[in-house]
Amino acid sequence: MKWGYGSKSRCRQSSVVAVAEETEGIDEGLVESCWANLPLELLREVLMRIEDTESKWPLRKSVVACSGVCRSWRDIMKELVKTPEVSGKLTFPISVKQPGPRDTLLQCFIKRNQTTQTYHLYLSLTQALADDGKFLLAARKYRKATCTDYTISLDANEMSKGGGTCIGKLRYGLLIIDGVSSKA
Amino acid sequence: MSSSTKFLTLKTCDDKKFVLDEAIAVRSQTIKNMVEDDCVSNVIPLPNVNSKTMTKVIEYWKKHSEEGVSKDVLMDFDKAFVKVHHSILHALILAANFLNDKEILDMMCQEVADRIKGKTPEEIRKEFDIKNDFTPEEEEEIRKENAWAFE
Repeated sequence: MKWGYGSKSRCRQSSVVAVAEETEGIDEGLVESCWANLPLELLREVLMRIEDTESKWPLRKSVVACSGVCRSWRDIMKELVKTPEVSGKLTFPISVKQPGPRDTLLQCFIKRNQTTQTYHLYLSLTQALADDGKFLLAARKYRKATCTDYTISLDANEMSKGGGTCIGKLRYGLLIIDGVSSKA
Repeated sequence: MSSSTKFLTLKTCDDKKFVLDEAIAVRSQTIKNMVEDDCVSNVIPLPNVNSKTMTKVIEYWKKHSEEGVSKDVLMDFDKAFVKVHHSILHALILAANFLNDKEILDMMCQEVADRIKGKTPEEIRKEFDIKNDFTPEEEEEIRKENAWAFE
C-alpha cells in the first residue's frame, strides 16, 4: 500500500537516494504531533541538557519555562532541579524561601526607591556595578503609629497583602513567611 | 579494506534494504551486539526505523567513518546535519536510541535543547505541538513562576 510500482523498480538501482524521495510525503503528517509522545527517558535527556547548561540567570528562565509546558515536562524538570542548598542555584520562586548553599555565598543587592518606599532585592549576576541582576523579591515599607511593617512579595508591581504573590511580612524584626514566623 | 570487508544488510520497517560495510554499521551498539553474539543471519531487521531516517543515519556514519576528514569539516557537517525539520529530528532521536548510537543521540538531544532555549512555555507548546494539560490552579501557579522568571 505504501509503494507504487514506480518505487519498487527504482529502489533496486539506488537504495539510498530513491528511498529519500519516496517517503517524503508519507510520514510528514503522521509524526507531526510526535513530541508529546517522546519516551520520557529521551525527554529527560533533552531537559537535562537545559538544566545543565542554563545554570546562570537570565538563561535559567528556560528551565522555568520548560517546567510550565505540560505535566510530564514539569515532573521531569522538578526532579532535575535541586534545591539551592545542594546546587547553589536559584531556579523557581520557591528558591527564595529555601536554605541557601552552605559553602558558597549568593551575592545580592537592594535597589531602594525612596519615593514609593519600595525595596527590590536582586541576585548579582556579575561583579560589575552596573549589573542589572535577577529580580528576587520586593518589599514595601508601611509606617504605622506604633511600628513599621514591610510586606514582601515575589512581584515587583503587586505588593498588596491580598495579592497572590505576597509571601510574607516583617514586623518588630520578626519575619513572617507563609504564616510561619522566624527571627530576621 | 580488501577481501575481508564484510557487508551487512539492514532492513527498515518499510521493507527497504540497505547494504552496508559491517565496520560502519557497528557504530550502532545494537547492531554491534548482534554481530558479536553471532545472531546475524542475512538480513538485520530494524523494526523501529524507517528508510528515510536510516538514510540520514547512514549519511552520518559514512561521513564520520571517512579517513582523513578534518575536524572542521566534520563540525560543519554536523552543523548542517542537525538543521532538519522537527519531525525528522524526532525520528532521528528515536532511531539513535534504538540503534544505541550515543553520538547521534547526544547531538540530536542537544539540538532539541537548543531549539527550546529562550522560549516561553506557550512558544514551546506551539513549536513542538504539545498540549497544555494543567488544571487552572496549576496554570495559575505556573503563570506566577514564569512572571517571576521572565521579569
